[in-house]
This record gives sequence, structure tokens and C-alpha cells, in this order.
Amino acid sequence: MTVKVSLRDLHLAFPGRDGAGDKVIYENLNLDIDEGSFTVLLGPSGCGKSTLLNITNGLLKPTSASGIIVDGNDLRDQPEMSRKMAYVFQGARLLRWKTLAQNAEFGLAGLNVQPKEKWQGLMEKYFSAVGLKDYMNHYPHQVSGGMQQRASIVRAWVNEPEILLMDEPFSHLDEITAATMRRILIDLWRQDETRRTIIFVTHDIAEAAQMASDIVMLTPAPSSICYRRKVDMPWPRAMESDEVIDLEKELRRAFSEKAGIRF
Amino acid sequence: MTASMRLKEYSAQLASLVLIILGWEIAAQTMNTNALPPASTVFATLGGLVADGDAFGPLFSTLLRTVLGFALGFLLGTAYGIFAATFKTFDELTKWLIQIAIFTPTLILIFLFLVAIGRTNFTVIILIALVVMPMIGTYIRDALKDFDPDLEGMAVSYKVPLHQRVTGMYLPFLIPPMLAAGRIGFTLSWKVAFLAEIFGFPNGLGWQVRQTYQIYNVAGLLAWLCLFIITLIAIEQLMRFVERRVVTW
Amino acid sequence: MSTSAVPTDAAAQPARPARRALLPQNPRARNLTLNALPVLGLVAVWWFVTAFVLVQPRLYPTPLAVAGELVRILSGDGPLGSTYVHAAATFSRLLVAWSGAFVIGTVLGVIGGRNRWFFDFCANPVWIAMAVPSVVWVYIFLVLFGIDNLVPITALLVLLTAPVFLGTAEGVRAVSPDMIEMCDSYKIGPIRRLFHFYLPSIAPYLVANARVSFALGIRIVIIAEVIGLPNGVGLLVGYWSDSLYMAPLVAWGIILMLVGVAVDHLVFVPLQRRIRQETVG
Ligand SMILES: Nc1ncnc2c1ncn2[C@@H]1O[C@H](COP(=O)(O)OP(=O)(O)OP(=O)(O)O)[C@@H](O)[C@H]1O
Ligand SMILES: [Mg+2]
Repeated sequence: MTVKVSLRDLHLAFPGRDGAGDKVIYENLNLDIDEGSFTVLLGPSGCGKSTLLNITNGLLKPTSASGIIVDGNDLRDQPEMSRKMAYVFQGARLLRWKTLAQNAEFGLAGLNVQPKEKWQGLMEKYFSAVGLKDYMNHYPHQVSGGMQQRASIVRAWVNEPEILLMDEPFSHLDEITAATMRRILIDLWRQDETRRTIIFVTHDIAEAAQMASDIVMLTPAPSSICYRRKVDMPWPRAMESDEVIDLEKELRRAFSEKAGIRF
Repeated sequence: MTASMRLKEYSAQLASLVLIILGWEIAAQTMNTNALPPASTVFATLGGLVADGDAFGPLFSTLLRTVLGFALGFLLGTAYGIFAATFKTFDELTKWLIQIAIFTPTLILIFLFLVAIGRTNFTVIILIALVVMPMIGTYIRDALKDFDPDLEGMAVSYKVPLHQRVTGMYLPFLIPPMLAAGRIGFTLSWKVAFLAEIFGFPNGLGWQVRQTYQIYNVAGLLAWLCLFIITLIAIEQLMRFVERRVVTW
Repeated sequence: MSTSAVPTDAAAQPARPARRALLPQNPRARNLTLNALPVLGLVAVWWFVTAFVLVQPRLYPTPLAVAGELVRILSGDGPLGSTYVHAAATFSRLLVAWSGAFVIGTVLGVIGGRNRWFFDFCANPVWIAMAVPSVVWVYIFLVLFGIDNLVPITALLVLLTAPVFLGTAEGVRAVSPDMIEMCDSYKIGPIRRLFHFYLPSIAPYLVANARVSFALGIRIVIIAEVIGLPNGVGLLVGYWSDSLYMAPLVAWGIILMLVGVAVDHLVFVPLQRRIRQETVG
């Protein structure tokens, strides 16, 4: 399998406030992400998961790194590489003066998806997929928070990016909607012949066990990868199936053994 | 703010001033007309005014009028702001009057007052107060309207005595907008004083500027103007210093 | 709950009959009465003083004389040609300079809000532009460029750009960094970013800027005209002031004040309210 994204010798520290020492987030972190994988980054709050996506997307410069490689090119030399990605943020981050459809279009225009004639079809496809077809022309404040979050997922997905960065996209949703969205996400991802690479951040162990093809576990900051495994289980995975529950148990055990977190 | 950030800020601020003065000097030297004397000449004239002591008479008479007018306007404005925020009826009663005061062109007020009341110090002081008062008053009124009603409820329920409520709650809340309004208000006062002098009050900085303009002494005009700006900068810095000292929470 | 029924309006009304005699019941009408009473009182005092105490119609015009002047001005009659021609000259200058300042100040303000260095660089010139009285700018431009229609417009432009710049920069700094990050992530280009992101984000600030700079402009344009121009309302004002004839001066003051209030209440206040509703909604 080819490596799609590779972070080499990553160092990051934020300057401390009021004379306090720098806050070290990563010390020599290395991470490879396979092409076409559904990689779940699992870690406790504040360990630097969002930050890792920001670095991958080129939004944040690390203190130092010997490589931020996307498709064999260093992102810092070729910022164009980040056009292959679309980012679903932790919050919806929609423009409140644009309808849901216009918000999606905003992203399409920014990432310059060609040809333009395809936009309408793309938007209809993905808005329908998340059950928002009838709300495309609503403004964000006219729909619920969960619908806003779904619209923000569409904004990323309509670009049909090679790499999809998702930062706890379902953590604000109620459990029922979240379960539906997980199923839709997996279906969409599996439907494409050329599987997109998804980097999916969560702190929810059950969610990780249900979706991941590849699990990366981070320790609290300064964070490092304390555990990693592939998951060879077919989808759809029933939440209550023995395999999934066993996997959850294993992940929990890894958390307490490797990252020192007790449940 | 770290030291390096502050250094960067100051260097950027200085850079523009240096650039303006350099541009001015070069333009004046190359154009070589009467209309634009070089910066060096203007500063030399200014130095002369200060060295001879000619600068101080007009400067202090303008400053005195400004300070008195500002003080009056500030007192009235603050009182107005507090009353208007406290008593709804008073707010409604004065609404249109304040609107009229805010929207009447200053220049027309100046013409009117100088002619109708006469060219006295008193006229200018009243004028300044009249222009500054509504500005400060509305500023403080609006700031007080944001006063958190929950805080008020808490004070009442815990039976906090009035004087403690004033020093512990109202004043800390009132002082920052008062300082901010004061800073804007003083600049405004300074301008009104200057404007009144230009349009007919026969002494002070504005009068000097008008005189030099009329005999087409551009270097003199710019020198007096620089004096005006430098004084304003000095006062502004002083007020910022006070503000930082007072507002420590 | 049924015992403590909500009192109807009809039930509440007889509760305070004493007020009824003095002020209208309807809150809107009551407020209007409260607003207008002191103004009417002021006019009455003015009338009393000019009619009985300071009887000198030229210096202390009565309300009636001013009303007469108002009618004359509105009918177009003036000492130096039609008042409407002058008013048109003034307002075209104001509009040109104000819209120019609004555009320039907004664009520079967006840059200044994003780039700390640029903001610091502009801070002093902007502060000087605002602190130096408008008359002085007019003088400076007059000696530099001679008498010309461009002089007051340029002076006005300089003066009005400054507050717009500051207001816009403040607004842009208040834009959520998360949203900027979103734009970065989706590679939104500068033009789209300005028109589809920054400007809508800071719409409340834009209206506030437009409002403040218009109110400022209406005063400054008069000042500029008094000193250096062959036409405009300022010229008339200067003329009446020089000839020590106060009634038309007061009349012009009232007209300008009313125009300012009208534009503020008919254009800017509703606009601001609408935008605030949309922001909250
Ligand atoms: N701009 C910044 N300046 C200083 N510290 C920062 C900054 N951004 C993030 N941090 C710190 O970096 C750490 C990691 O932040 P990050 O947002 O990546 O956490 P996270 O793993 O996504 O947490 P969560 O699950 O709560 O979203 C946090 O401790 C945070 O305080
Ligand atoms: Mg996060």
C-alpha cells in the first residue's frame, strides 16, 4: 500500500503565556497514513488532534519537521498539495449570510473544482446523501445545529477531495443522528472506486471501533503515538457485535496501559 | 506583549512618520516653491518660536480655554449620561435636544456664538462645553445601559450598602468609559477651540495659523500647526498613561 | 394557574388614571410628547428672550424671522444665486468624498485589521489626520494646490478615510480566527475573501462607519467651503456671518441639522437595526 500522507520528525511548541515555559505539543512525532485508508486519530482532549489536522492541511507551521509529505511532495515547498484536501472542522463554521448550498459553493470556488457545470450535480448528490436536499436554500440559522454540522460535511465532500480531514464531525450530534451519519459516511466512502483517504479525529472509542480501517492512538501532550493497529473487519459493523466490542475493550486497555489513562 | 512585539510596533509607527517627513523634505527640495517649504525650515521656524518664547502665549491661551471648556462639558456630559441611563423619562425628555446638539454643524454654532455673545473667553468655553457634552453624555449613557442587571440584583439581594455599591460596582464600571470618552472629548475640545480661533477669536494657536495664512507665510503656518500636533500628541500620551494606571483590573 | 389569570390591558388601564390627564396613554405617543416638549419649551424661551429681552433682530433673530428665512431658503431665494445650486454643489462634494473615503478606508482597514505591521504603520498618519482640524487640512491643501474644487474634496477624503479605516480594522480584528482558518483551508482567494467573507462579516461595522463618517462629513464640507470655495452652502454661511446677519445663519443651521438627523434616522438607523437582527437571527 502506498503512503498518502507522511509526517516526519514533527516538533511543535506554543509559546507559553506570561513567562511560563513553552507548551510542547509534539516531540519528534512520526506518522504515515496509507492511501485509501480510514485512519482514526484517537486521543484525549487537548492532546493535539486538531492541531495535527491543521498541520496536515498547511494551516499551521510546526516548529520544525523534516517532512510534511503529501503524495511524495513536501507541503511546505508545494502548498498546492493542500488543494487535494478538504477539512470538516470541529464546529460547523458556516457563513451565516449564505445558504447551505452557497456555503458549499464557497468551498468549491475556493478549491477551484472544475468544471463548474458539475457543481450543481455534486451538491445535489451530497446534500441528498446527508438528508439535507430540502434545506439547501435555507440559511444556517434556519436549521438545527446538527443540520449545520451535516452541511459542513457536505461542504468538504462536494469537492471529492483525495484526502478528507474530519475533526470530531459527529461529537456535537445526538447519538441517533450520529449513528446515521456514521453509516452514511462509511457508505459514501466505500461507494467510490478510488477510495479517498480519510483522516478522522475522535475521542470516542466506540466510534473508532466502528469505523476505522486503521487506528492511531495519541497520548496526552506532549503527545506521541502510543499504539497503532489495522482493523480488518468488513463494514457495516454492528455496534453490539462481538468483534466490535472486543476491539473497544482492546482500545480501552491500550489507553490505560500505554497512555496511562484509567476508565 | 513581549518586548520584541513592542519594538516591532514602535518601529512601524516611527517608520511612517520618518517616511512622511522624508517625503515632505524631498518634495520640497525638488519642487522648490514657496508653497511647500522643506521640513527642516519648518522645524527651524518652530524651534525659533519656542526659543523666543513666542510660542507659549498662544499655546497656553488655547490650552486654557480648551481645558476649561472640556472640564465643563465633561462634568455636564457625565452627569447627563448617569441621569439618562437611570431615569427613562429624563432620557426621553432630552432625546431630541441631544440629537439637535449633536447634529448642528459646529461652525454655525461658532459663528452664532461669536457674534451673539461676543468674542470672549467665556464664549469659547461655553461653545466647547456645548459640543463636547452630548458626545460624552451619549457615550456614558450607552456604556451604562450595558451595566449587567444581574450584578445589580446580586448587590440588592446581599444587602450591599449604597456607598459600597458605588465605590465597588458603579465606579469601576464607570471609569473606563469615562476615560475613553474623555480622550475623544479632549481631542474634540482642542479642535473646537482651534476652529473658533480661526473663525474670529483674536488670539491663540488658531489665530496664529490664520494670520500666517493670510500673509502667505507657509513655513510659519506649518510651524504653528506642528506645535498644535505635538501638544496634542503629548496630551494623548499623558492620558493613555493615566488610563493604563487607573484601569488595572 | 387559572386563579392568577394574566391581567388584560383593559384591566390594567384604570390603575393609573392620574397619568392619563398629563400624558398620552400609548407609549409611543407618550415618548413623542416627552421628546418634543423640551424642544417646544426651548423655542418658547428663545421667542420670549428675542421678543422682550434682547430686542435686536439682526443679532438675535426671533423664531418667526428664522422661519421666514427658512421659507426663503426653501423657495430657492438667496444672495448669491439659487440656494438649490449651492446645496447641490455641497452635497455632490460630500457624496463624492464620502463614498471615496468609504471605499478606500474600508479596503485599507481590512488590510490593517489583518496585518499588524500595516496597522501600526498607518496608526500615526491616521491619528494625525483625525486630530488636525479640518480647516487646517483645507489650508494645507490650499497652499499646496491652490484654489480648486479638488481641494475640499481631497481634504474631506483624507479626513473621512481615517475613521473608516479605524472602524474597519477593529471589525476585521473581531472576525473569528476559526472562520479565517476555514477560508484558508478552502483556499479562498483575495477578491472572494473580501467580498464574500470580510465585508459581510463586518457589516455592522461598515454601517457604523458610514454613519459616523457621513455625520462628520456634513460638518467638514461646510467648513471647507467657508474658506476656499466659490460656491456651496458654506459660502452662504460665511457670507451671512460676515455681514452679521444671524437669521439666515440659524436657518441654515436648522436645515443642516435636520438633514443630518433625517439621513441618520431614515437610512442608517434602519440599516443598522436590520443588520443587527440578521446577525442575531
Ligand atoms: N494557538 C495556540 N496557542 C497556544 N496553545 C494552543 C494553540 N492551539 C492549540 N493549543 C494547545 O495545543 C493543545 C492541543 O490542542 P488541540 O486543539 O489540537 O487539541 P485536541 O486534541 O483537538 O482537543 P479536543 O479533543 O478538545 O478538540 C491544547 O493543549 C491547546 O491548549
Ligand atoms: Mg480538537
